[in-house]
Amino acid sequence: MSAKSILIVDDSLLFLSIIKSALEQAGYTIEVASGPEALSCLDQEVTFDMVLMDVQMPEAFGDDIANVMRNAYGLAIPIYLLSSLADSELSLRVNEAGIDGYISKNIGFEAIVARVEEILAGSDPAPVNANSTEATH
Amino acid sequence: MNDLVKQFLPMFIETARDRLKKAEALAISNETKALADELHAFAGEAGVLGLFSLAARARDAETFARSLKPNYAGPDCQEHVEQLSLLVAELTPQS
Repeated sequence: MSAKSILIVDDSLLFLSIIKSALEQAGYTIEVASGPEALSCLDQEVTFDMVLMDVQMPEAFGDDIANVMRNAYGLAIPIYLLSSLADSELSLRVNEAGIDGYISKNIGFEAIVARVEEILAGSDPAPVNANSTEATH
Repeated sequence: MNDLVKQFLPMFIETARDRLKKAEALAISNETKALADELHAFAGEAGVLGLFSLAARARDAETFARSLKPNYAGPDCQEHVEQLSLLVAELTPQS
């Protein structure tokens, strides 16, 4: 069975490098984009299993791009916002965009990888509250 | 996974210094939205690397910046940025 493939969209090259490395170590195939050009990734022959989308990017809001993916492109795979915005705001944006959920950046890459694994395994518990995973550093 | 922290901490510090230098300039020029966006990016990068306390401080600074009028940052914003710079200066890449 081939590795599951994830499209990650974020304007921070550092963030992309960290989360790409962490997810690749966990066995996933990763494609990255830094803004709305992520839509062109959907025109390629690559089939994705999940999209992780930042919210605040210079050229567009990620939830708007996600909305287009879901409603204009008919993308039926899990689409999650991945952001350091407050949980309440992310929850609102998820509902308005009609996508699957959100993952907080504030929980660290190990917890993000664990959450992705849960989602792609088919179990999708409530979002991890960043306040419950406070600093060990 | 700790290898990733070792690998990316130097890059984080370098990026953080650049972001905070930019944030300082934005605070001085009263560009509060751009300042908040810079602090938001900083918070996300600290959070994903597991620097939770630093990320929380950055989010507090971002929230403060977003609470301000669009074109007046004031001295408190500069203070927030200075505090973050001090915290970043305390980070040492792991050997």
